[in-house]
Formats: sequence, structure tokens, C-alpha cells
Amino acid sequence: MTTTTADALLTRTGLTGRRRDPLFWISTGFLAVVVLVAAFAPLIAPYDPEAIDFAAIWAPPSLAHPFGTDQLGRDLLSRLLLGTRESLIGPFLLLVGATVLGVAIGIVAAWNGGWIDVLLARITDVMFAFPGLLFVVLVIAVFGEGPATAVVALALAYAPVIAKFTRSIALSELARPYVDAYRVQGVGGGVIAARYVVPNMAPALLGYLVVLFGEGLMGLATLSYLGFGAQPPSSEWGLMVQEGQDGIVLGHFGPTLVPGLAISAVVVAVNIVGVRLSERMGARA
Amino acid sequence: MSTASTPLVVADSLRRTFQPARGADPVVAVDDVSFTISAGESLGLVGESGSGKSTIARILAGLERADAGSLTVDGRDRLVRGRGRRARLHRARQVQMVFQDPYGSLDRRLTVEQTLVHAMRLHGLAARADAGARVAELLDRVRLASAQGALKPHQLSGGQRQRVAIARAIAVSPSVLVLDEAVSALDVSVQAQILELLGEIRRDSGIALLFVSHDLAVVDEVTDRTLVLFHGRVVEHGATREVLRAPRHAYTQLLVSSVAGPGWDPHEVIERRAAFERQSDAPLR
Repeated sequence: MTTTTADALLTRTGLTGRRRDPLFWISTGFLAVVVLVAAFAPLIAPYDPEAIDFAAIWAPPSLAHPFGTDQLGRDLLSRLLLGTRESLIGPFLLLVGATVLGVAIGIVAAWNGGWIDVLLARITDVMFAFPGLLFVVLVIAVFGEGPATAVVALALAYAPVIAKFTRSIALSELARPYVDAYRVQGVGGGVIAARYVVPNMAPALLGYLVVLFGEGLMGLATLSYLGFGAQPPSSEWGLMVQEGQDGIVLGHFGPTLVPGLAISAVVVAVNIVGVRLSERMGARA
Repeated sequence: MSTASTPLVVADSLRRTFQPARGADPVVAVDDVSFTISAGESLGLVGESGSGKSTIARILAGLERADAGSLTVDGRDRLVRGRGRRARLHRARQVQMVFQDPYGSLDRRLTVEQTLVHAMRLHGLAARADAGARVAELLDRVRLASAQGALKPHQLSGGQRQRVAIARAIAVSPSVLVLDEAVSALDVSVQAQILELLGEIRRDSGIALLFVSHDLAVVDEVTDRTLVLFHGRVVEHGATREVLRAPRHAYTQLLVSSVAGPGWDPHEVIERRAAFERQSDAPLR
């Protein structure tokens, strides 16, 4: 009796699978910690991340500097902690922008068909054939470098991808008779799409968007590494990797390794969470 | 209100063609179909898949346009459609529809109560204060327990879902209710309960029914008159009793004799169909 109730409760809350999935929970927990770090970074960081100390250039890890220091003697731990902010907010903003744009285009294409659908198909064809990085660099060449341009450029690159994915889910979602039922009730097309179809598609979209967040983080870090994104003295992780690489030939791996590992860890965790979410939502639909 | 001399629904020479693919020959789904439904009357539409019966139902419900012909409900043209919200809501209050798939036609995110309140609110039929009472009244009318108002579609049985769909349709007190294969997905015993419920609603509210079904026994149960459709054309039209007991047209005879029952021989049905196809020079779908 107790077991059946407990089982029913677990099934109802949809926790059964995830409970038995430690990897998912470890990844989620790790990401939660990263977000908390981003929120409270200035309080946690032991030093000012931009404080230069020529007396402690390329210092190895010690009690005073747990991760060591970089080529300007700045504390790597503090830079890493503060860098969490720009490194996470960038991909988040880019994802929000790309999602709003992509979902809107995708659902309109699915609903109307016709020329909008054809145009979307052509744009996505071009985007898939055209190297993404090249497109982004082109946008940056036109509008100038900097973190904001990098975010906008990547958002524009991701929007068609999201639109294509949205269109495919929206086509099956729009075929469900509840959409017709809302129409018969007299609800307008735009309202049906925005208020009812999009929330019903959200579970299917969620996992995909989480995975894209990881890609966005990599993309922005890459742009910063190339000098197109975050600018010094920012401690954005991609920029940290780039600034640290001068030390590699001299045997100082820390300044590159620390932000590099941080990027990898977050992207791996995000991918695990995203893929598991997709699987679970797919199983539920 | 319609008077005795003018029927509630007047459809005249409706025609609808579909273009299956670019460059392909258009398919005539509905060809020169005329009918009337008086207030409180129940009209059956029978025919096999592809006969155009669902298209007619959807035209009446406003989900599909007609290429030619005229259609009025209570003297108002339903084919020339105002695009504004008021016109849309007015059309919705004239004709409501119940779909074949009871699960798919309900928004799976909403509870029964939310579904019903949404339908009434949209039409300004339930103030915040008395929405609860109106919902209880509706649930009672479709013989659902008030506790079921808190459930979501996945927690209900097929029959219960269809009761919710019926409650949603009658929530706005329409003058016409379109039922497109509304009991086809249900078990026979559940079918009987739903049919009884429809009979009650019809007696109590004087609502007119357009009942689309491929199931002749069900049509016999709930309709006064029946149209038999074949390849989008009306081949027979009359009182349901006469049409089903003494069919005149060869296609109706084929339909009636194809019904499975004691002493039913599938080979004989196949033979008769082949003979009919040779005769009519039109392949059955």
C-alpha cells in the first residue's frame, strides 16, 4: 500500500527517472552552484579581479592564490569567479534573443506555410551551408567588435536554427485538434499561437534550448578568444584563455587551464541536463 | 430567432476543392451540397472516408472556407467573415464543435475547470464571482462529478474527456452543435452514454445538431434526417429511418449492407464494392 502510493506520487511528479539518474542531478547541482557563484561573485572573490600585482606574476597555486596568478599578477580564482557573470549572462541573453526571434518565425512559418515558410527554409539552408563563425565575424566586421555585438551576431546565427526546430514541432502541435477547438471558440490566431501553442511546445523546446546554451557559451568564449567579444580587462573565460596562453611556452599552464576547464565543465553539465530533459520530455509527450 | 418558415442553417450549393500539391489536379471535396437544419433538429452526414462529410462540418464550424455557395446560420452569412474579434466571437456563439479525438481536442495543460472557465470568459459569460457556479452547472449537465473539475485531460477516461469537450461547446449556448465523428473513438457502451447525453442536451436546449459519422447505427440513433455523401456529392437525402431502412441509391445500399453484424460476410461486401465501382465508374476510397 505504502509502496504503491509512493510509486504513484513519484510517477505523478515525474521524478522517478530523474531520481535514479545521478549524473543529471550532479550536473544540475553543479550548474546551480555556478549560478549562485555568478550572483554572489563580488562577495566570494578574495581579491579585486583587476588588481595588478607585479610582485606576484605567474605565481603558482598557494594558500594566498589557490589557482595562482596570471601574467599581470591578478588572482586567477577571483578572475574566474567574477568571469562567471559575463560568461553566463552572454549566452543567456543570446539565447533569449534567438529564442524569441526563432520561435516567432518558426511558428508563423508552420501556421501560414506559403512564402514565409519557403523563405525560412532558404535562410536556414544558407545558414547551414555557410560557416557560422564566418557569418558572425562578418556581422562583427560590419558593426564593430565588443560583447554586445558578439551576442547579437550569435543570436542572429542561432535564430534560424531555432526557427527550423520550432517549425517542426509546431507543425505537429498545430495539427492537434485543440488548436481547432480554440478557433471554433473564437480565439484569434495570434493568441492561440502565443498563449496556448507555445506553452504546449515548451517541454519539447526546453532540452534543445539548454543544449544550445552550452553552444552559445562556447561560441561567445571563442569570439572573445579571437578578440571579437569581451575586451580587457574583462575576465570573461574565453578572454582569460587567450590572455593566459602567452604563459604556456614558459610553462605556466594555470592561466589557460583554469578558465578552459571552467568552460568545459559548464558546457558538459549543460549538455547532460539538456539531453536528459529532451529525453524525459520526449517520453512524456 | 429563426421562425418556422426559415430553417436555422441554410447551406446552398457549397463547394470546396483542395490542391493536394503544387501542379496537381485539384480534388473536389465538397461538390454542390445543399441542406438545411431547423432549430432543435438533428441532421446526419454519412459517407466513407474522403466523402467530404468532415469538410462540410468544418465549413459550418468556420474552420474551413468554401469556394462557392452560401451558408447562413440564423440569417447571418458565415462565409463572408468579418475579421474582427466581435465578428469572430459572434460566429463562435452560433456554432460550436466537438471533435473526434477527445484527448487531442482538449488543451492538456488546463484542468477541466480552467477549460470551461476559459470558454465562458472569452465570451463574457462568467464573471469571476459566479464562474464556479457556472462550471458546476455545466459539469452537472454533462454528468461529471464536480470533483472532476480539478483534473487534467490525462487523468480522465475517453468518455469523460468527450463530456468535457461537450461541456466546453455548450458553455457558450450555441444554436448549432457540430459533432465530427464525436463518438467514433469511444467504446460502444461509452458511445451509448454520450449519445444519450446528446439527446438530453438537445431536448433541454433546443440546439440543432450536425452529426457526422461513418457509423450508421449511431446516426440512426441521434438524427432526424440524413444526407448520404459520395465523392463530395449528396446522393441521397431524407428521413434517417427511410434512408437507412429503405435506401434508394446504390451507394447507400452498399453502405447499409456493409455494416458488420450477425451473418455478415466480408467477401460479399468486397464483391459488392467492386460491382459498385464498375457500375459507378468511380473508385471508392
